[in-house]
Amino acid sequence: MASESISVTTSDDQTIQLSRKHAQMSQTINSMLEDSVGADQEAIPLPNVSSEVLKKVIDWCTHHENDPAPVEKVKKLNKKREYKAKNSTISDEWDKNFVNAELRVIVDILLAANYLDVKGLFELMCKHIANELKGKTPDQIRERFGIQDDLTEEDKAAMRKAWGATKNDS
Amino acid sequence: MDVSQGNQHNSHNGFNLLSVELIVHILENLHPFDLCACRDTSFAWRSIVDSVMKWKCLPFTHSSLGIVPPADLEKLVYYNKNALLCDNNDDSSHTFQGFLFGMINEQIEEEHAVSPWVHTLTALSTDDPNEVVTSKLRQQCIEHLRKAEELNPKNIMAWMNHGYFSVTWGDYASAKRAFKTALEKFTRNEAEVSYYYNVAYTYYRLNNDNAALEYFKKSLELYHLPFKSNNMAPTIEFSAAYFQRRSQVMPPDDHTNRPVLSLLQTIISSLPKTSASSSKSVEGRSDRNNHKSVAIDIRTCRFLNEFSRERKTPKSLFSSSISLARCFNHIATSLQFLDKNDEAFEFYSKALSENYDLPNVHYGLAWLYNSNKNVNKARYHFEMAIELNPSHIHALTKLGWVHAEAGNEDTARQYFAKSLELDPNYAPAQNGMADTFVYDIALLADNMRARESIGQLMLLLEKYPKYSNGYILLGTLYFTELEEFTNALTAFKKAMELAPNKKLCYEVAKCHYVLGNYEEAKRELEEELRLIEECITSHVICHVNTNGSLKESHKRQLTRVHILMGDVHQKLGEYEKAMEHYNKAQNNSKHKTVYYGLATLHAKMENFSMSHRYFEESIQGVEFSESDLMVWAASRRRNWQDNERAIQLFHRVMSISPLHIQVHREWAEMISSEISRMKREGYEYSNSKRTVSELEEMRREHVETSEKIRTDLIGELSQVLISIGKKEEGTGWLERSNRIEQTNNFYIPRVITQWFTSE
Repeated sequence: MASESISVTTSDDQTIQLSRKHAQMSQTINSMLEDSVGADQEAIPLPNVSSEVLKKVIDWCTHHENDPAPVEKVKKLNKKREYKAKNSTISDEWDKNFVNAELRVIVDILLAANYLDVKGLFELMCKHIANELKGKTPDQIRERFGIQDDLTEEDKAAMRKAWGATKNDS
Repeated sequence: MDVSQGNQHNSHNGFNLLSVELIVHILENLHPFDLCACRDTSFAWRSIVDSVMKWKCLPFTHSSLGIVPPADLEKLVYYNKNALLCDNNDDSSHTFQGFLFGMINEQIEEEHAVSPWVHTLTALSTDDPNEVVTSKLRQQCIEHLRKAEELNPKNIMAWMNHGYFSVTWGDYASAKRAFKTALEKFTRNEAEVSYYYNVAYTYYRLNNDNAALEYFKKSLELYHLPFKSNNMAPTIEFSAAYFQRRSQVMPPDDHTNRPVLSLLQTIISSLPKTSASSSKSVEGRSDRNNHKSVAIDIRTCRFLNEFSRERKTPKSLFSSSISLARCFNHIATSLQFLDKNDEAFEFYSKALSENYDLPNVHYGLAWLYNSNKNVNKARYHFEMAIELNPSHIHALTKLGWVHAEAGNEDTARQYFAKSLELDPNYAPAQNGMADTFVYDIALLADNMRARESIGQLMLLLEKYPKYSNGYILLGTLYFTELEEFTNALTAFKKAMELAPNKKLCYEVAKCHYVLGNYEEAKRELEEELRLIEECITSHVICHVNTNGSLKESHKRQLTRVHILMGDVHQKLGEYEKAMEHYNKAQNNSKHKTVYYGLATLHAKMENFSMSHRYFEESIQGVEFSESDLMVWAASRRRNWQDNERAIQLFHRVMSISPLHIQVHREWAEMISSEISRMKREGYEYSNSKRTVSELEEMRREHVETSEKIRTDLIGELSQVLISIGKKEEGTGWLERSNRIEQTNNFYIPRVITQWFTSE
């Protein structure tokens, strides 16, 4: 019989125990478990995730462990709702507190969620970053995300002509 | 490509680690305007955003003048903007975008509210007043249309949209230019009527009446109705019909109807001459036809005159006509049609003072008195009409009705018989005659002797085959008393054939529904909805809807149709559509049956917390349906006569809504599904934060409540009926009660039907 907890080794060589239920919320770990039946005692290596970030991921999984599986949600969404699903509003209060972190941490969690294939967490992080981009002028976006302005004046003028003015110009 | 190309110097936040794929996922959450801001940040971002936009591009590139549902406008603008970003030289995309901006603007002006999304769309802060937003939307609309015109000068839709929106916003000069260009660019052999009409209208608005009339004439000629001063009736009829057609798609206001009115006034100026010449031989057959034409003209004129609220003195229009009494009569009839009874009285009086010997004037006046419940005067004028014209079949029949309503059935039958002598197939007379016999038949049915009453009704229908009300009664008896739904359907269909009526669509649909023919039910309900909409439109046009009563009746009709439509869609598994109809029903009324429908629908969609909420609402109900039941019970009063105790008890019993039984049963079933799902998924708590044992307890309570109400309601009612000697009826209820017990399929058609049909 499979044990109730799983060991994983993070990029900073820490071994962390997590419940099987939480581990199975990650499609990546789930596939590894399926591929290594009978070798439960071995720690699964996660070279792209630090222990700090993994703890955050486990926190999120703990809070959302009773959520219906995302696959089921997608199956039920009709066309109209699918469009609404792209709405970036974060309604869960706990999630709102969870994303209240430095951009560096957010990006790390996003990368970890992507690597571990935790769909709900990945969507949450994408939504949060999108919210950070919303309503900002190009200058504000550059400032917030540290993007270098490498467009020439000619480029900008051409874009304005082709696509019309953006909020920055109004 | 990597996003880090654009942010080499700023790696402190780790953003440069994100791959293009991840950036794309993030950008999918943004609206186009925010995407544009991202695009303008750097070279790398521009490439990514452009690729996202191309990837999301959907083929919304056609132009269309169809009415777009408001909820879809946002989506369409979003997709179409992406299409434009892929190909900014596509004139049809620009046309469509212009059209969409115009429609959004109309929506805002109608609702007087701006959504935050529109602020984003127009790139304005939320502090800006609505006017600024709408002016920005108008500007964007016209800019896109101009761009489309520039790219493809033969794009007629762009010109037409340009004209249409310019008219809406009062820029008639631009509208005229656009409409004229559309007309010139029209390459088919023969331009459509509306192209000339539009130009005419803009000329009219620009006070160039001569040019306006010239284009009006052309539009009328295209309708194959030559514009000749001595044959005005069809011209005006067409104008009225055309105007009505326009009114169905455009809000009825002075703007849209003034030009037609203007044309009519020009035409009417020649009317007195026509009337005078025709009146020389008043009794001649051909002259009667002419009078009929004149009558049509006058009625149409008066109708439109009322509509535009431009009162004209009829005498000034028809001063030289010697058949002024007839003119007054027709005007009075039109006014009566518009429910303007005071004015109608005035014109009938004028008509009588001109000529007291016109039977139709007496007939019209009698009708008016009758509708005002002045039975004596109504009777006098009907008798006058018959005296002046003993073959006046309408007056004979109507007088029969007056007597029947007053309880003088023998006299009524005499008048109906006279009508039927003149025309044995005259349906109103057959209806009237048969109705005098039907009371006793209905009484039999009320005493649970439905079979017997149906037998007698069949005999009556054999004798009076055009008795449409009889077929309705037959259908109702089959449906509610005997639950023979196929027979009910046949009867309702026959009634529909004899006298088409939107309410019958509902009855037919109801039969189809209980028979499980959901597609047919859907078709009938769609037809009823169409007829109701048409009815509402015509009432709006006529300005009849002043006291609110019609509005209420339409609301009631719409509610019950939407509820049944929701049920039908639910049965067909079309949950989205069902939801749409329930929501529409909810907009018109807070009737508890709507909540019940929503509750069962949410249960099927496994949306249990919402289902709980609606079940609660359906039990509590905002507008408790007791009043509906009281109406029904009161209608039975005559049959219960002096048995006050029975009436009181009946009222008390009926105050417990039978729907509650069904609600509690369905609620219990929903909880069962919720529990199975929790067990299947291994959840400890349901969405409504309850444990399995709590839900089990709830389920048991609902089953018990349902059973208790069933026993109280039907059991007690049966006992009462039996105790006062109505054994058959009492036994009937008990049988139904047992049937519910056996089939677990709640259905008390008598009560439920009355809920839906009581108006």
